[in-house]
Amino acid sequence: MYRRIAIQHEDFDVGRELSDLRASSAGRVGAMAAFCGVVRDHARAESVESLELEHYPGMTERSIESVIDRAEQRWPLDAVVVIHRVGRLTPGEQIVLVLATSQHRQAALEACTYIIDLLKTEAVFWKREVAETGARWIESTGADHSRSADWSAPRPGGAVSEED
Amino acid sequence: MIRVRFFAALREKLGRESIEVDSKMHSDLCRVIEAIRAQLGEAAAEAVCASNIRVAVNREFIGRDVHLREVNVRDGDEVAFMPPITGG
Repeated sequence: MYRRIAIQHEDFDVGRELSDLRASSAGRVGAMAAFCGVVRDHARAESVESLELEHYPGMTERSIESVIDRAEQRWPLDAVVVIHRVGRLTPGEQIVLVLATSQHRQAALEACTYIIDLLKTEAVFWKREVAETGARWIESTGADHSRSADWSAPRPGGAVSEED
Repeated sequence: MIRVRFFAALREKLGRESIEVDSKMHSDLCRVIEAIRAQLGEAAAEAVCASNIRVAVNREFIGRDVHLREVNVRDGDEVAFMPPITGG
């Protein structure tokens, strides 16, 4: 399985990432799932001016590798790309991109959801939200933790679909 | 020397990004915390021991249930104290 992890200040081009992956996997892949996270302009009824993301070089990449390792064990994937931005971002800017490709849609869609759910609780990043009223460090929510934990629960039965 | 790093809210609270600890005198994480107390004060030592702070040695998380005295550190190691993380 091909994988690429990038932690970067600069923006990314979702279309180009999808095209590159499609070109490099021609014929093998029948499904490409993408998730792109974007900075919201409101949180807790406050107006957000910016979001500052920091990471721990070396450890952050390792934490993302670990999430992708588990996705790879769970679904028949052809490729996974995770691009995560750091630094100061303003509302409307892209923060994170997750791409997962497979022969069939179910694996690609589920793996994409799984990876972003686990990034919320396991990826080594810190976010500081700057609003008119001041700044605060934000943490993953109870909902984030329960979504992440749900993936550890036994899955309901059902074979992987062979349709595309 | 052992490099001790503080991230995010903890860095702001302590007013420091990192400190250096003499490795001859500090052979486990308890001794690293003693060194933090000596260099940055009691409030700093308490802050790094808060229940929501995770510890990593050489970029590997130490399990929440592991006692700090059981974790050996030596010259050249990097210890990190990390507030709750969130990506995505």
